[in-house]
Amino acid sequence: MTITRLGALLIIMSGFALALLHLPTDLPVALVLPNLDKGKESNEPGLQAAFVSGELTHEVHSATAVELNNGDIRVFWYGGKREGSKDTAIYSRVFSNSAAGWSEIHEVMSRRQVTHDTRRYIRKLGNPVAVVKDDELWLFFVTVSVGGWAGSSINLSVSTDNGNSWGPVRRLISSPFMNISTLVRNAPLLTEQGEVMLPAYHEFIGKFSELLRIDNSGAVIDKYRISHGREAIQPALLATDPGNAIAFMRNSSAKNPGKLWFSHTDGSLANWTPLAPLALPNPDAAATVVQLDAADELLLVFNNHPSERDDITMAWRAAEDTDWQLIHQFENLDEGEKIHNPFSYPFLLKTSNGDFHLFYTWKRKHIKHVHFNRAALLKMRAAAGTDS
Amino acid sequence: MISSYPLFTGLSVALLCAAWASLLLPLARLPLAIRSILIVGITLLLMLPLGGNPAWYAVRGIFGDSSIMALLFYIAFILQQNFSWQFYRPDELLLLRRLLVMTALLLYPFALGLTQFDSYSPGYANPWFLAILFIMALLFWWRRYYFLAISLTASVAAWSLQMLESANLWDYLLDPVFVVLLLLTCIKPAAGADQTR
Repeated sequence: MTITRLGALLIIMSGFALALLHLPTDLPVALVLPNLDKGKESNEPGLQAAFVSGELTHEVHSATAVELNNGDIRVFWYGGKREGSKDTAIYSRVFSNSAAGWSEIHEVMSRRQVTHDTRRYIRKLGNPVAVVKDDELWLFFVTVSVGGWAGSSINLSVSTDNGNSWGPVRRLISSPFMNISTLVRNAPLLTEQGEVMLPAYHEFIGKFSELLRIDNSGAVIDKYRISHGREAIQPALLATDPGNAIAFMRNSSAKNPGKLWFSHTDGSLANWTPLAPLALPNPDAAATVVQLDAADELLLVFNNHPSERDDITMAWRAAEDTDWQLIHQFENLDEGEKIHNPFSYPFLLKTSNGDFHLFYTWKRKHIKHVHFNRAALLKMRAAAGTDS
Repeated sequence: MISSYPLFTGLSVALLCAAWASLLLPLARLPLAIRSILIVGITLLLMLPLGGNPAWYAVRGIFGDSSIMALLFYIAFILQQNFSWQFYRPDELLLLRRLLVMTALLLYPFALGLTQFDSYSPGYANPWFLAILFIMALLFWWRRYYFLAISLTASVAAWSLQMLESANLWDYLLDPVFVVLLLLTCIKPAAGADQTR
């Protein structure tokens, strides 16, 4: 055996031995279950609605919100001259329970900053979602370098001061095809191991939903496919027990359009049941869902039409084996008014004090915030005739 | 991760561009000095600011990061095409091309949602995937395809050290731009020609 041959063999052995040493131990994922406390009880129904995105930009879209450790609500959205224009940035402001009002709006992420931090040309930003992880606030958002939203990649920035300042942006790698076309829309779940389970979706060639498993450093360390083909995107996820979750998805299918998709895990986050259409309609639009007093008692906000986004409606389900009941309509386009997709992208947040904060895009010009309490929810249910 | 360092990332983009230039431009017909100047020139051009940032940011934004396997091939390809060094034999290039095209045909459609099976997932620390690659490296070594054996080993070692932003082994082995370049070496036979000193 020549020296070259022996040397090559030694290099191969050493290289693979190094890889073996770095094989991580695969621990089973245990989801953190949501707090299902009713919070403070109030006898007085309370519901306030207001526009919260100000006049900084001509168009705004895709609001999401998170409850901070101090109980305040931080909302994020993106805005610019129009969706996808070069001046898009991510904006945020805080709703303070103690001060009972909103902070100033500030830009938290710009194209220039993301270009600088990720060392990639960035053309536009969109779809922010956030999660509180211990003392940190993690903000995920999408960016596009070339083309439309199908060319998106996910980015992450971390704040250690409740979102007043943000650390360097890092790129999440989630696709082998030039890392394009993975997007986010709905809130992540956390695991007992401190990992983040980020619901994501893909839009290039295939249109499908998936779940990204992200470690403490912010790297994608595994992924689970929820659906495949060109059927379902923008999964809204809820944990039902430590090893299982359910997902509601936007219907992007050309073959089976018009109904909201549903899937659930079968004992492991890697195993999802085939897509099942719900009785609720879906006009290829985002929906949002939260749990109430039990893991299977749900409140869902969506566009109640198979092809138009002309309303924002809330439905309630008492338990897994019961039907959905429509309990309130927040918006309904006036007859004769013609606006393309006037109400969209609802995001519902249930806070630890038992209140609900709903955000949605209002005629592309505003982010509307509807704040209501449990008494108001009971009143809506009573008015709809679903009160038991 | 080394990919967070601008020098490494900038040079990897320069290698990508120089490899494409070596493939598409008739550099081999030019005098050695001109060839060298052109290769260095491409690298310097990419470092120049474009809209306030180095020009390589734009290339990286569009094409993403090159795999480690691709970077090693680009170095070998540039030197073999333009400076008559020999890193791989023509039959080794043929094997690499066939293997990568076959792999790409299996990987990309399933990764892009063809079925419920996600072909990208085994790239996350799957011991069976690693075992297959180890056997392949030994087979390459047995057949004296040293460039393939060492490149494959280096890609696996780079993955274990998390040298790129990705934690997925697939991203260290191949990327779409690399696969297209390899396919084009088939159409342009001169690109794969054996040019010994």
